[in-house]
Amino acid sequence: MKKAIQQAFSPLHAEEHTLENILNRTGPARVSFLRPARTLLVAAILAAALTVTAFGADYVLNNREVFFFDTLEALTAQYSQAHPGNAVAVAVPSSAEESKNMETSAEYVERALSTGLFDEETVLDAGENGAQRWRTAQCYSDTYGDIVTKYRASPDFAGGIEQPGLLDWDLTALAKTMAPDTGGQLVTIIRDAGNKQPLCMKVHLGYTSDAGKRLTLNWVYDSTWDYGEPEYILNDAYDESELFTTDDGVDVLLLSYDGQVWASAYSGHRSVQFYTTAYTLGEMKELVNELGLSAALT
Amino acid sequence: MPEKDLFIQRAQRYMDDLFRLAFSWLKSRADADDVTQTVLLRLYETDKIFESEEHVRHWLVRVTINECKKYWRSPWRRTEDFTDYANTLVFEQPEASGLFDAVMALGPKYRIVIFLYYYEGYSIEEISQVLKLPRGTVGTRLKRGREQLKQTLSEEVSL
Repeated sequence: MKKAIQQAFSPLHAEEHTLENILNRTGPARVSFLRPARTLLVAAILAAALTVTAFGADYVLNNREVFFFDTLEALTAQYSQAHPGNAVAVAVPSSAEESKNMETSAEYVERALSTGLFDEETVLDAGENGAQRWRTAQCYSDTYGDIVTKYRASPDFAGGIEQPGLLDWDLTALAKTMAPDTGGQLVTIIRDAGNKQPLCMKVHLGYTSDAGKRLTLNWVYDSTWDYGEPEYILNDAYDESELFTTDDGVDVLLLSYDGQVWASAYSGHRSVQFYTTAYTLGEMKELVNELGLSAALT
Repeated sequence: MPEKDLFIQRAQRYMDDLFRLAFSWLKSRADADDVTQTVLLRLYETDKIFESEEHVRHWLVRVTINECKKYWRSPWRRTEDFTDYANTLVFEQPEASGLFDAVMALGPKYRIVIFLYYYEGYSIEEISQVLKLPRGTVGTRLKRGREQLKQTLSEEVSL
């Protein structure tokens, strides 16, 4: 049996350029990630910001000071020196066509409600009432310990979220132009199984425009991860990239590529990410202004 | 051996196995590729001192499993047609294709145990440690996974 299983999996091989992707532009390793969420996460966790001018040179925004680098190697060397032990990872965005293969909001919500997002969840309670559905489950998590996770799905969340002590965010500005994606709104709260303190809260909201374009919003509070005051990478792999400051003083990383726009902002234990095919980068600026991101990040 | 050369040597040695492990969990080529890259990047940047190559392999398996768990929780998983990918694979033995399909048709919790036991050669105790599951649970899953495989494969033969 062992030999048969090994033979059965032997035709599978890692992508041809895996090693090249990692070693390319070494110093610190560089890797190309293909997914939007990873792109934004990477952008947030690196304490450096990179963009490329029309001449192909790279420069770093660091605490509002601008450092110019001729090459990415020089940038990564600088980063490595400042942050020993960390690798630099620079994202490459998915094309619009590739992004179509991403799970839809409704598929994600369905997965969370039917199987949960952790291993070995013991379901304590589950049910539905009209368009609202829920599941409460207990499990052990490597990150959080013994936890109780409550998943709640409801189209009402598309208009705003109110969770005492964690989030009070009016989303009507968004709901004015986009319709809630059917079955695509989920609020997940992870609590300590003993003292019931919230350890993590995730909001995932899917919207659709009349033209069938989409927008997803992910907001996360995580007690185990502190972004502090992050700096952002502006990446030349995108058509446009910009660090934009909203009227209420929140720095937002805006990126666009192949008809898609990503926006993300991080502060302390909170983060917010948007992905859309319905807005231009300019329209996204208006949206993040209207939504009052400071309410979501403090 | 210079650090970079050692990394390249290890990456070349383990990357296919890591991809297979990630694929057996996530059932998505693109996600498995992302996990493989992430894990190798972690290998590149770690300052951990490994006692032996066996230690490296165990460490890589554990990191791969943790990365797969993260992907499972993410709202950005890819939806892929498994058949499209399976059809591109060239199996040396015709029966290997049926076995591959049968393993991949198992639920993820059975699939990963079967993979670790038969492909990686892990013992029940080692699987229990790496998946953080009681030994009894691993044993039960292994038994049920085998039973389901047997049933699927015997149905195929009878067809």
